[in-house]
Amino acid sequence: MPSLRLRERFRRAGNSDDTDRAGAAQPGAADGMLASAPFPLDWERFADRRPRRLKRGKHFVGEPKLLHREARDVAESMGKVALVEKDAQGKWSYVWIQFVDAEVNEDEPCPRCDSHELLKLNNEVLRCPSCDSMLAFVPHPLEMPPRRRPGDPADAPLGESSPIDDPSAMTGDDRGDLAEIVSTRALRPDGTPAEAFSTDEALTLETIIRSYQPRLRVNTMISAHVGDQRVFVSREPHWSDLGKAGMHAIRVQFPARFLRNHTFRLKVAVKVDDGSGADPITLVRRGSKWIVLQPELPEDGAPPIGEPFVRPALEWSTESVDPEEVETDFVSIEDGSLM
Amino acid sequence: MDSIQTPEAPTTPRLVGAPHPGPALDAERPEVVVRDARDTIRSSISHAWAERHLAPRLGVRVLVKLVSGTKLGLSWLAIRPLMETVGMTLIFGGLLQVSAPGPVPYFIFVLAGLTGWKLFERTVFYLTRSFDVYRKLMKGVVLPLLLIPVASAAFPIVEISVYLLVFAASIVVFYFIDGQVYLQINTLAVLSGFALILGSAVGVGLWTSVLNGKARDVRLTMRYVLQIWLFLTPVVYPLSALPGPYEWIAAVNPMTAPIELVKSGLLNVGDVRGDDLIVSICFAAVMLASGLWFYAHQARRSIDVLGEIEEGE
Repeated sequence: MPSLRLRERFRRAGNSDDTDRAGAAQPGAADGMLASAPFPLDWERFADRRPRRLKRGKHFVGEPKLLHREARDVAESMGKVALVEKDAQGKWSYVWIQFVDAEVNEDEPCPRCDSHELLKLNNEVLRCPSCDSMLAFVPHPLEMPPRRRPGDPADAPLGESSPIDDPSAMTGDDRGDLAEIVSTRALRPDGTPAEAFSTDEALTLETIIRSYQPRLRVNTMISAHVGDQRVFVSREPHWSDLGKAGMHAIRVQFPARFLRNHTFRLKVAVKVDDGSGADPITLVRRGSKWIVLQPELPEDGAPPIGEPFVRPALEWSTESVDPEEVETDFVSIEDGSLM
Repeated sequence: MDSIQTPEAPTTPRLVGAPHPGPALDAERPEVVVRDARDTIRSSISHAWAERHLAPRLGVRVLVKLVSGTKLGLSWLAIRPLMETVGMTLIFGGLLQVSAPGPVPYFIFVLAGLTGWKLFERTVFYLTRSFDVYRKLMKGVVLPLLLIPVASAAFPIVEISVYLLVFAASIVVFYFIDGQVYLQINTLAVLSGFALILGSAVGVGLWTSVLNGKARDVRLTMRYVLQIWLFLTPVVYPLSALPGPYEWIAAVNPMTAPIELVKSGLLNVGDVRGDDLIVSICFAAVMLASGLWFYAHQARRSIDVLGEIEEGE
């Protein structure tokens, strides 16, 4: 990541303390080292969680949205979350940046200490009174009522084994001008879709999205639910560039023994950033039916419950796919078949 | 489905930057409760003090908003007091034949009174509007909330500095016209007057800023309240010109004493009465203390209400 390299170069130059209160390097502090760097900022200073105002031409160059992305990427690499607020005042352009400790989804406890009591500082930020973490608040994505084609069956009863690739699933902020979620399904290691898996085998969750504009960036979050309870959340660690408009597959690979035996309902939320500087939109697809992760028990029985195991990090990938190869009976909005 | 076992710990919530072992799936998970953060006066002040370097950056927003898109730019800082004083002089000094006490020209008298009054009026006005001005920022990053009124009060102080410059320039002009120096400065009286005015204004503004965050009617109402208050205060007329039956208005008006202090400190024409001064000091102290308490407890809620108003619009 360029920002990491930049940071590393800056640290090696020994100038990490030569910054003013806004966290920017003093002009000429690292001559030769940072001359080509677009944002010669000492990001380490932002780890103190204090808000800073950066001025274009003094603390950064170029469009504020580039600094916005830079801050977001650096914060992620530091294990933090960047709050960024653009602030145009007449001919001057400013960006306020504040790093906070983590994100917390609505109805989730503090990710640091599991405290179930949080304090609201503003609509975007919560504070944990237990561990004093500042947490960026992620509300539930906006969801529209389910839209069904005539003849679609009602949702299957809970617990019934059925594909998660439900064409009638909801899409949230349905901005057809940017992108839409086409399908979501689970694949075996050989690429064949399946409905049930053993805990001993790896599986890939694949989300197909269709982008209508080039150069979109996406960041995907999947969550698994058991009943009304969310039991697992994973977010793509970086934003992925989709390149040209078309079909794209976002895949996340679950290694064997990552998930315990259970029946999960899957929900996918894809943040889409068109690079305009506007807030990203969120596409949501909720598996209205159930995916069954059913153990194919060996003869000597299931692995012992309660045995500790280490969960490896998930692998995410994004690639363009041929629309002809996408298996879906999803009818796009343009066809006018959806209500 | 019969073979499915109750999972012992299926997964853990994984959030960016915060991996941790989560609770067991089958455990009873208590509901997550999100409460409004409650600040105290002390925590508000200490947080604001820690981030005091942001105050000028916030304060300059109002100035930029004022001059942005104008052809005359910063000249408006000087034009406004001049135009207001000229207008008042023409209406009250010319049309209504109100005169200043002693030999002081009415223009200079009004300018001295307006310098004190404008500090009060503009401070209350900008504090009342402060959540409107900083709303987007307050929702985007976590700013010390007490910095918002502090930054809002910065611009009125700049404005009053310009009023004082115009006042000084007028003294020079009238020296050349009349050959007399009308300035009779009493620094202690001027500073005391300004301190009382600022304390009262910030106290009132702390209340109205939060209330305006809940309902914008407050801003509209305050405009008329301040207009009426101006004419009830001896700004454009000397206190001695008030008819006997109406003197009680001046006595209970907490702005009377500080305005008289300013006029007395600049021109030695004020009539500072002990009773009025006590009323003013008590008013400033009560408003400041209660305003701080109210602001610390209610400001965060107003940010939310403002957000709802914006969405509603």
